[in-house]
Amino acid sequence: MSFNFFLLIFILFVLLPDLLNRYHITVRAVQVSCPNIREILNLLYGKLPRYTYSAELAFIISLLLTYFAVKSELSFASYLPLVTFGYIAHLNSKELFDTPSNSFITILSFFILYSFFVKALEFVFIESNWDVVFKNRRFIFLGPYFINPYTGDEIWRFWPPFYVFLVIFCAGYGTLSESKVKFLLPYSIFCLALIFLIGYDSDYYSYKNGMKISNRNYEATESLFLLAGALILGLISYLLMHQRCKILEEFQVNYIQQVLILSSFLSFIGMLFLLDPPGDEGVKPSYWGGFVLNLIFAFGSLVIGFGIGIALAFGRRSSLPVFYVPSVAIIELFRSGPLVAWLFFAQFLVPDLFNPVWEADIASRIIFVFALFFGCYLAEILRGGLQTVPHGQFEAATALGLSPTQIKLRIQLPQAIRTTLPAIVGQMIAMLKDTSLVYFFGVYDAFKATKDIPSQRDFLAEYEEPLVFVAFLFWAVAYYLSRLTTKIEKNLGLDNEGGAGRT
Amino acid sequence: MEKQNIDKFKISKYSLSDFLPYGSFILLYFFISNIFLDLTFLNLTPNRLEALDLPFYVESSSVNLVSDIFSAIISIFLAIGMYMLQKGTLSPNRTDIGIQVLATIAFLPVVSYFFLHVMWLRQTDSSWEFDFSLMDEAAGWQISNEWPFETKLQDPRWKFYQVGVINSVRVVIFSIFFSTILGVIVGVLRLSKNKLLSNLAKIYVDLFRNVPLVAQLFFVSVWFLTTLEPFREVQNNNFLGWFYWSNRGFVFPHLEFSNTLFFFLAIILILGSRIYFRFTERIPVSNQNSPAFSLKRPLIGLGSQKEPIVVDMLYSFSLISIIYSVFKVVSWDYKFTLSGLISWSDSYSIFVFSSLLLALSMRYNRKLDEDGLNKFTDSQILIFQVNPLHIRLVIFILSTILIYLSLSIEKPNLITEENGEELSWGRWEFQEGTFEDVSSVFLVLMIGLTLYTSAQISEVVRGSIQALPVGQVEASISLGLSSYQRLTLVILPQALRSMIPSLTNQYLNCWKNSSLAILIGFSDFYAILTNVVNNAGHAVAIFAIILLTYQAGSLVISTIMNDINQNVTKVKI
Amino acid sequence: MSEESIIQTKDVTVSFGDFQALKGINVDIKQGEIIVVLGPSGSGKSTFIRTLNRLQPHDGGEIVVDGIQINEDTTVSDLKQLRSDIGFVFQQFNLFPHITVLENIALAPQKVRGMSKEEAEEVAMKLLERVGIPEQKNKYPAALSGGQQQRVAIARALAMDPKIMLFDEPTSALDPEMIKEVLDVMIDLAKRDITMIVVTHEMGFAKEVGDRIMFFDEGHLVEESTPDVFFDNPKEDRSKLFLEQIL
Repeated sequence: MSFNFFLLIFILFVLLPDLLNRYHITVRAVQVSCPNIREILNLLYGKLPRYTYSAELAFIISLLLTYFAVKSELSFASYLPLVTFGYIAHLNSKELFDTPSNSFITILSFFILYSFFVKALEFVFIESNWDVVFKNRRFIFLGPYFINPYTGDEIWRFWPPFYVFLVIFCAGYGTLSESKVKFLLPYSIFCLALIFLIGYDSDYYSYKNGMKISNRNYEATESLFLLAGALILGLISYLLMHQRCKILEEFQVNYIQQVLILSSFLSFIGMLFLLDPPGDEGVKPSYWGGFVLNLIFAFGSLVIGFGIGIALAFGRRSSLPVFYVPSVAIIELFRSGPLVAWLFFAQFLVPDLFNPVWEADIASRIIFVFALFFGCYLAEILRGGLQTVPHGQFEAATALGLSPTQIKLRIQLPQAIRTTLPAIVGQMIAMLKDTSLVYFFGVYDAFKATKDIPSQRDFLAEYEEPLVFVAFLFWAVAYYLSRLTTKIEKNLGLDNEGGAGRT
Repeated sequence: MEKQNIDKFKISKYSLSDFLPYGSFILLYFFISNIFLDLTFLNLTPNRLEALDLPFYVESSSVNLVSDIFSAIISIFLAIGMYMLQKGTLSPNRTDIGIQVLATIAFLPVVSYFFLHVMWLRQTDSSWEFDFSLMDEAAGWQISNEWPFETKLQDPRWKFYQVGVINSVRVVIFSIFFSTILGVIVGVLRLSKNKLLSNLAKIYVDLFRNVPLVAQLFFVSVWFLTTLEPFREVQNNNFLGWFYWSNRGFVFPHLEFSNTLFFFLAIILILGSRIYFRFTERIPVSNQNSPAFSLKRPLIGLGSQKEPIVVDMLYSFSLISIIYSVFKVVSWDYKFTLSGLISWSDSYSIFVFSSLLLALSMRYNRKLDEDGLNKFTDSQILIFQVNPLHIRLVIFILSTILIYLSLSIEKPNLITEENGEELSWGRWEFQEGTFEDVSSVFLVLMIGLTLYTSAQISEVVRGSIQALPVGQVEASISLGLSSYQRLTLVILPQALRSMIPSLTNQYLNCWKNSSLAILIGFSDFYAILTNVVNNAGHAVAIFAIILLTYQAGSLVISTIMNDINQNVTKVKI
Repeated sequence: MSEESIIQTKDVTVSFGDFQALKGINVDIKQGEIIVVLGPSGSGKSTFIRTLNRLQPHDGGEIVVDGIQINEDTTVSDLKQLRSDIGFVFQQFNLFPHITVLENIALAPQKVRGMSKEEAEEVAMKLLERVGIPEQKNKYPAALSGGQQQRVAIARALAMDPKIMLFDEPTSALDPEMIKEVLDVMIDLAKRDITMIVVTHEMGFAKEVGDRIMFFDEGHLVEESTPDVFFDNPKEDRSKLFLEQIL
């Protein structure tokens, strides 16, 4: 590629003066005619004005230009993005080009980054047939049960939890008292994306003899109305909470946040009951499916396992053998094997053990095992957190006359959770990633969907696109949660950012 | 002293309204325990459990009634007990005892249910038999990617398990090695001053940490399948006939110790000369003040001259026996047997025994180092009037020649014809004994694990470097160290100390994540054992083996890392 | 100060392994007395006052506080009664960092005495005013200075309306400029009819409000006298030695 050649010349251009200097070769001509990169950049871009967001803007423009370059396959078009990249480099030239070795590293990294973007853009926009994913989007998200025409009506059960969670979520953002733009901008993108996903091209099912067949009685208009209602409700809850929290004091905001978290736990349990009420109505867990099932597994393990984890953590610290021995046994047992082994346990052994008492299908058993697994890891995390609570707290509480249970629950536990919150969220992210294993055990989650889509008649052997999409879904949720962790760490003052320039 | 009756507390007497919350507890517990007790007593009916030989049984018709009565009794007892404890009429110690009694009774229905139910399962369901005899039977299938064994159809399942364990260990060792190196590099790059470089590292970490390992494995296997050409093109994809690559894997030339006698001679030469050199260069220490026996140095009675020599000899002996046992286990042909001297038939016990001996002798040596018996002079001591350096050179050349003579390398031979006829590419094979291969599934698993674990390790490294006091960096800058020197001499050694527990955690995760091999078709021991269960049942016994194997591996990893931790944290900062 | 004994101990011993921290302490404290406990570090002063509300179990001897015999057979409800009658102020304040100042003070009345939230917060506000920092009520402890935190700790101990207040070196962890504000609160407290036992190094406080000085050394109660006697004319040699070292 001529672009690589161009880059090679550029690298040599950078290194040559340094090499010559190192070997004490002074060629007057070379010295004079090899100007500094920074000077070049200054020459080219020095006159342009600088704004606060000029780097971000230039980056977006360069991405667009790269897309254009990749799409159009004109040879000169691949140099267009370089213009904008040069501008970004000029903005940061003091840090990026201060020494020759630094310049070399910069150019090399830029090359790697650029090839990566080009390849990614090529894959995403050129080579792939995203129809595969788009036509099957409901299938990937919800699984087969909720989209076939006979049982698909049960999908109504997802709407109330969606409303509740959206309201809680937006209220939670409202308590953060950040600037409104920081929330409204991503939220509007989110709204547009959802509307697009639900509304666009919803009639399609399959091309058969050149005819379009309706998408299994899917009425998009009704869903769009419900969606609009939810989004508006979320917006209102955000605005109200934001307004309220501006005038409240810190401890009241903390209290509201705790209430929100508790209500999200309760609504999750409520959602489980709504999906499968006791009795004959409802959808049995073995019929749940899609990406939503992965999320249910992940958050279910958190919600149900939280109590187990707290009990085990305190049991492990207890001086009474009747609590200590079982706690240690359970914790060490569950931590000794990988999650896959415990899913094996859920598949083969749990039915035998529990069938007279609890007739559980595979999905419920998996949630049970996930919850136990998370509980044991949570117990270990909390054990560390409880150890860091100063002993003086315990003495002060005892001197006040609080009973041991009250001390555990009101004094030690809140402080332990505060300290270990990043680790707890980290463990939850790990559980979310681990839910990708369940497809192997006969559960219809998102990964199983990616394996079944390539066998659909319209999309034979197109196995890459669904896989990339589902991996992207997991990545997005996990990335968002890990950003949340950083925010929590900053909020609690536990981080130690900095260290740039140490190496 | 008179007891004053303070009325500051609202409630100090028993009252019914107070008891109400406990009353609702009775109902809840009754309901739950009834379920468990029903089944417990069901198992106590006559002729149900053959293993039980009780003087009394419960009639099947009265099971419900009996369990109702028992549940009621227990629930009421528990509620009253809890209420009284809450009143605080006992001292703290007695309250603790009371809590224990109540808890034991509360757990009783559940525990008895499980106990009797498991007994019943063992009686009725073959998968609950704790019987390992199935592992001795023939497996009836073959693994396609084993090394260094080959399994045949009639091999016992234990052999398959062995192969699986070795497969897992192989993958994990390589993954740990590569991911540590990669993780440290990326972690350091993440903190680079160059924003572009640190952002590049950040993209790497954010990408590989947050995508599930399952997806990463799938992507790597897809990438392998598409970039490597299919097996039928393998004649075009080789390097001078010595290396072949295809989507089935990589094929290397066969390396073998065909003449193990020479190899062992070389080892003995090297180790023996080491002992002798150490003997001549050791600074003698006087014999006084040494007790006749010490627990940490049992051979102290030999005197300070002989003791280090004997320890060195034990060390060398244990090394040799380990190598011997490994050769024997791997079933390489050897023409050197110990049968003339000692007959040990079980190579595994030799391996275990000699590893223990090695560990003990290394420990002993360390103790000798601490006590000052292993100080060596720098001056040259002539050995038989010859410069020791020359002798070392001669020994080095001799052992190289011996090892070279003991090895044999064979070029892989692709068989495409049989009896003069061209075979279809599906039946092409490499001639047995002429090749070593690394299957593509092994590489997929290793690469996937490495990428994922390296991203985790880089976060650990980054965290521990950031936790260093800033003064360290400032001091090293003011000393004029270059950034590379700063990194290797000041920052990394200190960061290492705090890294090791988190690093151990990641290694343990890597070991446990190797179980994902089953998803891509690599035969690690979890996959093999799952197959065994699918074929032959006995899920409980197999599950126990699975858990024990993982536990054993975790133990080995944490012991080694703990040892490293001890070494690294010897100096208190 | 009445004539009724509120605290009586007889031959109290406490050992930590081989080390004996208290070697037989006998005291008789009357209701309303202000006792100041002095002594070098390691002499067992803190250990002693901690045995009085059973933060530290004693190994030998008898302790009777407010009519309740304290030993391993003391029932849970009696211990609860005991601890609500004794307020304890720690050297390290030991405020609960995860709740506000007001909630810190209101916690015990709500949970131990069963008061309602409004009542407890009313009591807490009054106490905050008494110690002089009513405006900090909704702040978290970490936002307060050391002196303010200790005053909150005193208010928290007073919330249960105790008969006895124990102070374990309340000003030793404070910067010098904050010691005065805490001592002022304690002096104000001393004027009311409450029994106080204060372990401290603040001799000014001892001279000003102390009814009796107890001097501990190496686990023994060496001397017990009024401040005038103790500071000007100590009876024991060890007391003289101690006074020479600190004054």
